[in-house]
Amino acid sequence: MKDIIRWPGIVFALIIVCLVYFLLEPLLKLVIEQTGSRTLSTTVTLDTVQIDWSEQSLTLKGLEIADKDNPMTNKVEVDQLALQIDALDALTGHLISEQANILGIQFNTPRSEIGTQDSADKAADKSNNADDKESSPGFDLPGIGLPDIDTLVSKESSLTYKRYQDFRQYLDEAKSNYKTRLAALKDKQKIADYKARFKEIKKAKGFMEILSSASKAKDLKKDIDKDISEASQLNKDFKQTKKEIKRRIAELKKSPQQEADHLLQKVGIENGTQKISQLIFGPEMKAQIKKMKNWINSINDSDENTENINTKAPTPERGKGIFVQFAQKNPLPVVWFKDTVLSGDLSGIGQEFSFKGTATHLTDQQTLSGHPTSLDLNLKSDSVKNAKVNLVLDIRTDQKLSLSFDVKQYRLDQKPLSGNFRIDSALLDTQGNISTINDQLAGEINADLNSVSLKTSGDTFKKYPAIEQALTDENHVTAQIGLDGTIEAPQLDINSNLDSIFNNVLKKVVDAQLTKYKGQVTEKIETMLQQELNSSESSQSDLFAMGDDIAGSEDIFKDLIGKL
Amino acid sequence: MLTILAKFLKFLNSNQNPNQLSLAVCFGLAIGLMPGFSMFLIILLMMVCVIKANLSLFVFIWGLFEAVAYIADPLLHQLGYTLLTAESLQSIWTVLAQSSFWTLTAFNNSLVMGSSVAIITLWLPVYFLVRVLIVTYRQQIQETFKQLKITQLLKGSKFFHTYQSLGN
Repeated sequence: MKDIIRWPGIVFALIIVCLVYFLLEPLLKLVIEQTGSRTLSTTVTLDTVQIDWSEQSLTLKGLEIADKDNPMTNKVEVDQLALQIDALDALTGHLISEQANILGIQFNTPRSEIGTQDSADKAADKSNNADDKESSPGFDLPGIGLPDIDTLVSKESSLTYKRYQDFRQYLDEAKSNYKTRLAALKDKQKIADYKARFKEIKKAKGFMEILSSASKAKDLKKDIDKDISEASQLNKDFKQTKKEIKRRIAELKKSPQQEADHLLQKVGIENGTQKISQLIFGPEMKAQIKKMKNWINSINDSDENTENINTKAPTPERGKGIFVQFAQKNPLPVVWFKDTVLSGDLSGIGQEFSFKGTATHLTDQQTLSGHPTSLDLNLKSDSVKNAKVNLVLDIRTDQKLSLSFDVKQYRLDQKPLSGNFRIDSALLDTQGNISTINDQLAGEINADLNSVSLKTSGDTFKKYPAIEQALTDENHVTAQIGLDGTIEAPQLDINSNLDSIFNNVLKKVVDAQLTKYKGQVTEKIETMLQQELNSSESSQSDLFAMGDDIAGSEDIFKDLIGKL
Repeated sequence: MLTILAKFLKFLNSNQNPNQLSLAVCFGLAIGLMPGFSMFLIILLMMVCVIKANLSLFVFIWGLFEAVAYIADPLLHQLGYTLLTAESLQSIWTVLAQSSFWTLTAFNNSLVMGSSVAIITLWLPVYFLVRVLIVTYRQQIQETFKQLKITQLLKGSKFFHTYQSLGN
């Protein structure tokens, strides 16, 4: 044994092991900082790393990840990240933790030293930021700014004109039809032929000729009877047509009034169907959905990046070789925190909340963990009594995101809603569920605003202070918001008590103006119709003039029969 | 350079156990060929510390085989890659891939696999060859070498002084 074992060597090896043990923490700190910085293309720094061998736990303190685009700002800062880890998994590059605590999460905090490595894609990100900063547009109230009559009423879009065109077509067709039928009935050649045949019958002498004439007379009578029947039918049809023309003219005369009603209803004046709540809450809702879209896009981007890294073909370098991958029965994600306690604050991203909560299955590779990531957070701030948010992100097959929230007594102060409205103060109770599958959006939000002080701005209500007054007097606002469509183009269906308040007041306020306007619209349509009817008058007269001829046609054939 | 050569001759001429010298050569070969990112390297280094092998000769041979490894890199990579992608061996590699220990050894790296196979193949032949060479040298060549005229001449040279100084 003495010949084989070098006892001082064992001591030396032990000293090395002890050195590694004591130097492991600074070594690990260096590895995390360097690997993190390389992976995220930005500076990652740590204050300390602590390893507790008995607990198999790793604690990272003062983790700072610099913002690529703003080197003097940390994108994320974490006070303490404590993980219970499997050492063997960790050594093979898998950070798997059954229980983790990520405490003191903050966003966009200032840095003491510059922290950027790569300024790529700055331009793209800047353009995204520019999108975010788009201001909420103002809006016009169509019920108050009544549309220009010439714009509202035009020949091309007029219902009355369309009806007139149908009438004119009917008139022309009837005229042409009766002309043809009358011409066929009163054909001179035919009547002359009847008369000639009658004379020939009368000329018959002798038994045989009289016998033959009787047969000819019978044929002639049959032909004339046929014409009498046609003349009778023509007369009947003509009377019917006359009646129909009169009915259509009467209908046309009523049409301007009907069309005016229809047009006013269409622009949302007559029946109080204006959706003012859509205009008040819509821009803010769309802005929030846009934020969500950007966030989902960022998840997709990081996912694509990961895929790119994985699928990149390895190139053999001298001294490096190629790692050949073999199928694993239970492949593990690189990072997987199964149960995590979270705390932090969102002031860095413009939200006044601090939060505490839990997350399950936090990972970068859900397909490998086999579980969706879920977050349950309690948001706290001076301005909210209670706020719970649950977020489930499932990107195993499709990109599924489900968000539900329940907020009680959230104090809103100076909250801009659209270009024309802002909430001076209110207490908001809201519950909702929003889900997205890939780009499809669905959801429902109920909002109850109590002690509301709603203010309007701009010139929209200058002429109608009563509307402004009615809206500002309302201290309880409810809204049911239905979400549909895509994240790119969300469709919001907002129903609120503000709609009926607004429309009632609007109706009263604009009633007189509305009556006058309606009269003007009707008059405009009537004038247009009258011009057209005048132009069709000669056509009508021509048709009606045929009446005498049609009536007389039957007599002609009856005379012939009488003689026969 | 002279010092290194002198040291080498000193090992050969010393009374040190030929087994220790052979082991030093084998360890030097193994650690020289093994890429730095494999856990095998740490195991081998620990073994060098614990097992009696001539450390100076080990360091000398290590350096020598680092150079050999650099030159033979494409060959070792090709050997490893062929073995790792061989259809008949897939079941074995897949079983090993399930184990964290084997993952740490980076056995699935083409260079580690190629080097490991080269080390395993060369270990015993090199060990016995070196041992035989040392014994033969000491028994037969050493005395004959001393009788040569050139050796007599060299004894008066700077090289011999260097050699002597090592002995002192």
